[in-house]
Amino acid sequence: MELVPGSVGQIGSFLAVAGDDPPVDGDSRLEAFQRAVLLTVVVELLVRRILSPGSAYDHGAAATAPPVLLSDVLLTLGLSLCLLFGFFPRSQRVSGVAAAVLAVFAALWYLPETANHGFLMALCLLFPAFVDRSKPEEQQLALQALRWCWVIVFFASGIQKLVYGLYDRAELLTYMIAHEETFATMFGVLMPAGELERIRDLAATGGPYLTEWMPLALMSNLVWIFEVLAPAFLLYRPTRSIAVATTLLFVVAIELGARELFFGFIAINLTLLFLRGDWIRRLLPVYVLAFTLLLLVETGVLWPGFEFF
Amino acid sequence: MSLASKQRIFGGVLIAMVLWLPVHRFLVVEYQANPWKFAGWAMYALPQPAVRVEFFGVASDSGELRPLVVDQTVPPMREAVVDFLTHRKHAGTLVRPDELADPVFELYPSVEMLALVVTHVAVDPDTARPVPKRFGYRYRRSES
Repeated sequence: MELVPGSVGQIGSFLAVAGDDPPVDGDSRLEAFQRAVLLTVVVELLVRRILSPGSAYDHGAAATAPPVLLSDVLLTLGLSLCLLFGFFPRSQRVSGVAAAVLAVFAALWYLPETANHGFLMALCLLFPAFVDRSKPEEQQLALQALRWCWVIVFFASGIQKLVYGLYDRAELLTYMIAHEETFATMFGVLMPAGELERIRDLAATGGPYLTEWMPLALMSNLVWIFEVLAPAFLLYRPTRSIAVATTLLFVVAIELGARELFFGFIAINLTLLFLRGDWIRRLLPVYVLAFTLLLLVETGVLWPGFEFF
Repeated sequence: MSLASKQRIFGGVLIAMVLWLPVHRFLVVEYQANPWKFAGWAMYALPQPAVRVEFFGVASDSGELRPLVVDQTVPPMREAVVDFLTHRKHAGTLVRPDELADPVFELYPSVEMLALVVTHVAVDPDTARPVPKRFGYRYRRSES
């Protein structure tokens, strides 16, 4: 186990489990990660608070699109400037700290509606902002903390599914297929038409949200089992690469139904952070392209009338 | 700040993330807080909770308890109800419907006493059916 020089005994050993051994020379992963997260934060604010403010809320029956608030504009502007100034070496550190402060502020400001990935994004910006990236040992420390952070979130997601008890008989998936078009579309490709129709009818009859199609129950159990086990394989160095590949496939599969785009982006980047190569930097142009496409759709320039959220 | 101090802080944050999980579970179970919120990482563990509010009034003349038809789609009720339901859905019973009483008393001048029933609906793991959980709140005109 490679301990960071100057590390405290137990805490250092605990963090180092998620570290690189041997350390990566000329590491640039943290910088690319910070940019990718900040880009995601800015685009989410732009889409969900400025362009389609209603999509960030769930007001129930009396739903009306809330107005765009000055705070929404200022936060979006502030974080956009942090993203921009992050490209200049002289202002990189300050803009990183400012971005972290603003992201934490945003997570608290939007309470109680703050999505969980809002907290995750804030942590993703907070850890890198706290270290001096010119020092490899500090850079490694932030990487370790970010990896642990994702391991905890991923593992907790699986445990929560187990604890709340709606996964062993696929109750939750059956409920989502009955009530959510995106889930019905995704599972409609896989399951028999008769079973899909029966489940869709459950929305009107009020359950029981149980499936007669065994593969759905199997998939449901695989979801929480994967979330509980995958973090261990991400931490264990010999299995990291294969765990990253499988986790990425898992996240993409989940996104087909859940359409939690911004959480998906954060999840993908946190997973890629376990690799020794700077994959996030290579993928940044793809992210920019994807977000540009999303913004064009949201503004109605492309596919007018299509609603992603 | 030394590297060791930063390690302690980062380690502390990560430990806090883990320790928060049972607290989150307590808030969900005891106070009907939204499991999808507050960094408990329980998104898609349960369906998003559904919350609704119903109004009942006792008129001063008849003394009968009867349901009140409150149009929740027009101001000022819309803002009050939307605001309440949004906060209630996420923060559960930690949010009381006190702010709804005044606008309803204004709509119904003859109502002396008001009863609000807030219903939370969640899927029960045993029966796999939605189960309502109701919470009642009473207000007197003079108290409101």
